[in-house]
Amino acid sequence: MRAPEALEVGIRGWVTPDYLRHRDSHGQGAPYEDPGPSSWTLTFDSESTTDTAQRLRVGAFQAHRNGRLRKEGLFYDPAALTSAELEIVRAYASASGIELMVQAEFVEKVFFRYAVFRRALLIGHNLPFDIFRLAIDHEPAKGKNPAMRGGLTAKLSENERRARVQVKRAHPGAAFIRLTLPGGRQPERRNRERGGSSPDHHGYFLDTAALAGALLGGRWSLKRLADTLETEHRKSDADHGEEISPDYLDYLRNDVQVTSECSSKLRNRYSAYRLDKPVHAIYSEASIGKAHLDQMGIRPWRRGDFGAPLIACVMESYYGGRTEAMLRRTPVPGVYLDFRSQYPTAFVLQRLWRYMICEAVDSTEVDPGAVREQLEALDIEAVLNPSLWPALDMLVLIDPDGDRLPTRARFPRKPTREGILEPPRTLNVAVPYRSGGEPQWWTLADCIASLLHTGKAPKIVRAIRFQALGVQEGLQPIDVAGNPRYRIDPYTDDFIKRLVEMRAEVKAEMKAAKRAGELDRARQLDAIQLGMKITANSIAYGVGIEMNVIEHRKRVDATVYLPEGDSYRTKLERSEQPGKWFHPLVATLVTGGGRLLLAAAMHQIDQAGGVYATCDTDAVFPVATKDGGLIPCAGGTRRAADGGEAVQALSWAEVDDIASRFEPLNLFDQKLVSGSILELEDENLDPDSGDQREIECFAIASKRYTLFTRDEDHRPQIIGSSDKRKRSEHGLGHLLPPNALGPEVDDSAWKDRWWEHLLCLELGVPDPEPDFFSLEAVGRLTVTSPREEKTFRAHNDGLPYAERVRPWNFLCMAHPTQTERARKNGRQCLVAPFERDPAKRRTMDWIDRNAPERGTTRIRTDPLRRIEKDSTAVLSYGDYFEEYRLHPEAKALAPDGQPCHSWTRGLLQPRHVTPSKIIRIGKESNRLSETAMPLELDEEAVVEYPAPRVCPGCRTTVEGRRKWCSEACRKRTARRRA
Amino acid sequence: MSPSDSDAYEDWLADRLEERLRALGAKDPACTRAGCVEQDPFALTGAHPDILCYEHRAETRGRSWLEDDHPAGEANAAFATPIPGNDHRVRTETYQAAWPQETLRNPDGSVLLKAAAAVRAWLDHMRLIIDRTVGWVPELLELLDAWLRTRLGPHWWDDFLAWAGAR
Repeated sequence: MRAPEALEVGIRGWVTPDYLRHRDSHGQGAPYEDPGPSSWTLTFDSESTTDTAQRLRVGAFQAHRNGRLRKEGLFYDPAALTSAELEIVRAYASASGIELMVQAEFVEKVFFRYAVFRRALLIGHNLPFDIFRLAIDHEPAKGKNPAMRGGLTAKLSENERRARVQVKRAHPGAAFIRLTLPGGRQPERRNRERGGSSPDHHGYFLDTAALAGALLGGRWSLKRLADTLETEHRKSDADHGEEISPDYLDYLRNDVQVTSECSSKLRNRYSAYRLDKPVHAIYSEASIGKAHLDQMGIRPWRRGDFGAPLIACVMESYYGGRTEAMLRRTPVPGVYLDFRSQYPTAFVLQRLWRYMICEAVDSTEVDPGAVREQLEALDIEAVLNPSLWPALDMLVLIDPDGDRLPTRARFPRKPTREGILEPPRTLNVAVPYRSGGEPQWWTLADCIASLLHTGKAPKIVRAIRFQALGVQEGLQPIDVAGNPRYRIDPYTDDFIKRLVEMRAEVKAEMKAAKRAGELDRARQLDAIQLGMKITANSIAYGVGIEMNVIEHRKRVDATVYLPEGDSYRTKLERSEQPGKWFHPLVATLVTGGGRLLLAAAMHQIDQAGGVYATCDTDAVFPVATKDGGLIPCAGGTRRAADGGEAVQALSWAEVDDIASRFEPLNLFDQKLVSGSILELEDENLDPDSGDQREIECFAIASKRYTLFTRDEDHRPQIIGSSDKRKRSEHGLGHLLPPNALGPEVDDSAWKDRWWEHLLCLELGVPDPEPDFFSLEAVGRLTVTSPREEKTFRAHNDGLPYAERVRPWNFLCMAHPTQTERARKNGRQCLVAPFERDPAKRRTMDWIDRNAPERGTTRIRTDPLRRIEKDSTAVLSYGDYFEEYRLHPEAKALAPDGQPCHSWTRGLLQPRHVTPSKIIRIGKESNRLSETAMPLELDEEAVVEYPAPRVCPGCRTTVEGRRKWCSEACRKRTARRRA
Repeated sequence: MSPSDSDAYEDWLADRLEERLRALGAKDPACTRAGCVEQDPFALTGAHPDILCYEHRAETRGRSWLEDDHPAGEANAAFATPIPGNDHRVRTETYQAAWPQETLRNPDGSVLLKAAAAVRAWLDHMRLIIDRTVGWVPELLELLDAWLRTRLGPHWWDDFLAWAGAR
């Protein structure tokens, strides 16, 4: 083991902003009963200009009552249409017998009439975009509701008594939308005055894109959604921004029809869950899990059970999944193993359901010596025995001394020309050797994982065992999907266990229905099994650590609590508000359990003499061939026949044996979920014969790997079905497809080609460079927060509102090359109207979003990085490819023990870390797209909770920008030092 | 605006209906008195869950369930006839409130407006009887049609007619 490197280490902190301190831990919910939307729905869609302003040109709407069309029409912005286009729109509306109105009229007579007066459900696909097309002004969201802080408020009408619409991005696929209270005395107030319980009406909004994401998983374009849901009408194709014609208006009306049909189908799907939670309150997969908990009448965990210091301990021990690449840039054969439903399995093994339904959670200090003794007696057999797992509900304070423990650190990454290691902005989680620093809290599971890796028990300073006390009264059994066969009683059943078992049952029925040709029934069962999967995953893990990030216009005061009972005051630009079902103990125990499962698999691979190429949360790829043997590999501890370094490949039989050893940990009903929880993925099998085949893994860094086979010509073939290839997308998510396809087209074939070319280069197989490598690499930027919108302030200054970049506009973004960026007044980040066609992007006018006064420029790619007056050289797909291919694995060391460089190949080694500084951090939320960073835009930076400034003289906390607490203290210290 | 001006009237009525439902605080309100079948939101008062129809509310307050109704409006004819309180509310809220204000108020006492009010009053009463007896049927049929379409397909009646023909 090398000497430890001093690195900044991040720890999840527990912070309470002052404005949340006196709020009931789980109940902003007033005791009001919301009757839900009326029988009306209003579906609308808008078409906009294709410049950066994306102002409304023409829109269409349909109003339905009880599913029957009652009103249909078009609306338009007269200033955005030519007189000829206006004539066409008028003639079209007249010929079609539908209403026609200008934007302001639509807002008054349709939008507000339905949204406010009729309590209609407002439906749209990517609804925030359409809402902001109607805006005549906007501002950062204000108001008492903290959930909307950090959002934006759209003003739709000049009438000051009209409601405004607040929109806040919830996650990349969904937004919270609500109406502010309009002026005047609303009927709900009259209702409450008469003794009723109606809450204020804030509107009902349903974004089909968000609902589809929650019900079906992933991101959905309208076209793909309509095809998947098999709606009566399908989305047609048209060029956005083209001249308005009757065909274009047909396309627009059809979009509204398709959106309405998709909404109807999705609502039907959701109704199959038979949950009380209204469909317009479903924003994500977690919403569905939470709705099940609500339905059972479970009371959320009370933070009062713990107290702030204990919650700080729990948060300190929290880490996500473990991802590593150990064999870098070296293709190796192996077997792709995956833990079946890893987090639900970890939840079931530790019997964590008791913590969900208990009356209270108690904690007791345990003798650390006794824990260490028990730990020293543990071995892999104990870990593979399910009786150990319920006793893992313990946190331990460890004084690390060469232990392998999860660590979130700023791993140095980019060696500069001078050899100086430049720390990146982000914190990455790895499992390095840890030594020194203050003792830190980890889960017992992580402690055992370290024992498996190092063979020695960590030094435990303190240990806290948790206990679930009592069981809540009045819990209700529920019928999942409304089917009494799928009844779950929270008192007698482990909810997650039953869900996993029932899902296996439903999947079997689905396959049988498919075989019998009952496609409708198969589809229905598929929706149910998908719902069960989503519910199990979200309850087992997601909802427990739900933290909603709130951006503040002004920094807010907050208290950061430390595990030792201390705290410090800080000011935050972004704070976190725990979700209703926040239960960090369950979340940390589940992820800790997941990491222990992975460590157990790694330990067995190691014991068998093998190595793994990569691991990714619930999957591991041990190096293996049919009969085993040596594989040449730099840094390997074995010696091949030619004397070169090599690693031992396990035989398939040995891998099977390792997988089968996890069988005792399968606590599910064996009739429904049989075999080991560690299983061979289907990718290992030949799709034709079903026999196991030799597959290879090529990893660059963690989350950047691919699995492939080779054809007769030794050309690599990435494995997996055409829509689900086994290759990472991490690090590519911010780039638009290079072909002329729209944002609604989910084209990922270029990523296959990207990886294929990368493999060919690495394997020495001749392969022409993909054509798109010479194209300008362009990403998509959507303006969704005041912070992002602020970056366009300079651009917007002086422009009429309709010409400004407004919220939810999406733009193309390109990054100038290093040479351009390094110039004095060089452009840093270029934006332009969204354009699908790469050829047209070159002829567009681009502006620097931070300095629009520098004027417009064209973009080009230039391998020679020449400076030209009229155009700016930007990074090409090829530039990104080079960076991607050579991306160093910052979390590990090269085989020679030096930092991993771009050119490093072979077996990596874990780093050895000692904290130089501990930083308390929050959830990853700061999207780097808000910055001008050219690379890795899909990575996220974290919210840091800055520690207070301490007076160097007397060590007391100083406020503001001062360094010393007082002038006297400064002089006193100077005298003392002298 | 009048019921014969169907689009505008429907919009106007839908707005009033939703406002009424919002004030009651329920989507499908009904009188909570045992045995009462009143479900017209305009004939209901109170707030969910304590909703009563006007007739039962009057009864609880010791008043008559009959109310005096000026069919043509008090400004046009002083005479009043007793009608059930619920019907009175429905008529005034949904029909009479849609009359032109000049006709209803008739501040100058125009004889033609008086005649217009009398005719409107007759029409209102006939509509009231029709609406209160079979007014619920069209919506039920529309809902049933929508339901059958989802269950049996867009041309469910082909099967239905075939089945009926075979009987």
